Amino acid sequence: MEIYSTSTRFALCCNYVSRIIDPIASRCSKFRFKAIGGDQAAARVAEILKAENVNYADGVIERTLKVSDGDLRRAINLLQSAARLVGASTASEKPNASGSGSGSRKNFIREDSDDEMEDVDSTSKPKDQTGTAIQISDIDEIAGTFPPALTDSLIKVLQKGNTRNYNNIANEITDIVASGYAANEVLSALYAKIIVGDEGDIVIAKKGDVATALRKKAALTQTFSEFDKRLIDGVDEHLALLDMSCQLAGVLAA
Amino acid sequence: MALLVDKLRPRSLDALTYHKDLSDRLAALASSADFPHLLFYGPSGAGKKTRILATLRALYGPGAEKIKIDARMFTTSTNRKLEFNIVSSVYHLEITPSDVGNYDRVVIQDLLKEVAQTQQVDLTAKQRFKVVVINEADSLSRDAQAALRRTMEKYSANVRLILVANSTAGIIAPIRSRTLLIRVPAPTESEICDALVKAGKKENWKIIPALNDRIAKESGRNLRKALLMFEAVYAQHPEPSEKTPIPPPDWELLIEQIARDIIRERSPAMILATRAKLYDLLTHCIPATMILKTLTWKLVAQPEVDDALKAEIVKWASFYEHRVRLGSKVIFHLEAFVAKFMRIFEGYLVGMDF
Repeated sequence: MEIYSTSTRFALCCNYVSRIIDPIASRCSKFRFKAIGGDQAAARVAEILKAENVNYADGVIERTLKVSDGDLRRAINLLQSAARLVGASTASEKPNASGSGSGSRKNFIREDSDDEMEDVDSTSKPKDQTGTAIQISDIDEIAGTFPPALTDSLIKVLQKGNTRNYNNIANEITDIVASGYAANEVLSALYAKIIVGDEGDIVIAKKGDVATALRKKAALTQTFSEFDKRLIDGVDEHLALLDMSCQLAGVLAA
Repeated sequence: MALLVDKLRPRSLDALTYHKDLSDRLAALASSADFPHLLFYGPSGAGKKTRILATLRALYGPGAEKIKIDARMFTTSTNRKLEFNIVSSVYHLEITPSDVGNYDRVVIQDLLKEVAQTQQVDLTAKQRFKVVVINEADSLSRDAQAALRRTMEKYSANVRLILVANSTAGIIAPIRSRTLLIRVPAPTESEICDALVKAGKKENWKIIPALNDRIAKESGRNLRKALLMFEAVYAQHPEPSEKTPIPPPDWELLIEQIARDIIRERSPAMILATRAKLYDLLTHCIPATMILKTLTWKLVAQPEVDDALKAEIVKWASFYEHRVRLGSKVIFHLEAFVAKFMRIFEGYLVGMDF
């Protein structure tokens, strides 16, 4: 970039300026792109949904932005996938809606013509505007996040401690792993609820006991960070989740 | 004679017996004009591969089931030759790149580029793209996943990817945001019982609900394991009863014996004897993580182990499993876990902390 600076200009794109070596960084003008804030992102997403004539329930945009964590591309992809799934489900319901549902379904499968598919697509378009809408649970499912209801039930089990409570914790973790949720999503959901959430202090300690709550939060954060690293190293998720839950239960019940 | 797990596997989306809403969504996706990249994730034995095969059939018709196996040669940058097996049909191919270890990036780039650059050869096919199924996607290295991301962007007109993983934790975020996540939970025990009843009727075997319940519970919500157990029971006892024992795999029996041994005796001689058993398991290609997990479950299930000890055992199992993952000599860490358990149990018995 020094030799050809008379005829060529470079634009470097990165996530962390600290990972660019100093000689290169000092020869560039720096522009920092912040994560897009709530209101601007919500307005942009609402504009896109309006342009695409997508129906959605209340709270879907907020949930999408929260799940995407400042990543607008992810938010838009999420909503596109959700719209496709919901709209496609509506389209798939069309053959069954008619009186000869099974008959028309057989015809649909047997005849491979494109006209048949076009008919389904065209008839699903008006139904989209009147019927199915994207729900918050659709966003959770497509994003792969751990549902809040399951997070709450897991925290309730953990609050009983780990000395005589192992079987309850083990059964809960076995169910979570069998349901297919990724361990890092469970960890993020627990962290958001216990450490960052509005009710975090109440979950940890009695109301008003600030010193105990802060001390426990420090211990819990250390546990979360340790297991975050282990998961990135590729450990077995069942063992890691069970161990993390036992340690969290020990701190919560102390 | 084919095993029940293959013979009775559903072939079409309509024939799937559980996760009805998921089947409906997959059928809708296969019918839509724009089929996205998919990422199937969930525990083993939940039916991910079955759902993928059914989706391919919905996309291309029964021709997708006529498959053959090719062996391909790849050359790395250091001129080392790799041989790699590909399962393919006219419409799709199926690869497991983690089989080649650290060279999976070469396989990903070269193979997908070659597949993507040629148009669909069957002009009468319903779809204009081909499908590549990538098994064990969460075992791919970071380099291979970065290469995969670039490839899936560049050739998305000709190729659609279906990734299969046990968990999305090992998948990098750029790939997750470019695929549609399909979560396949494990079937419940009642759903497994229904599948066993259906299999028994088809084979004209006597249906015993209590035995089916025990098999479903023993399988840990793994349908493949449940069907294999089911077939093993009827192979050994053509007329089973409610109390007929369920035969476990040989390696599980050996691990249970290890668990009983190290509880009964805690001495250097027992560590030496346990080492021989661990070596036997490893030489029979049982993964170290599987050994460690199963040993942990067997230990916490023993009546001699108190509830207060169980959290400690799980803690050290997780600790040494992490080391197994980071290191290269797995026997070191397995033996260390055995020694640590003996120390914990001895301390508990004599009532002091070392």
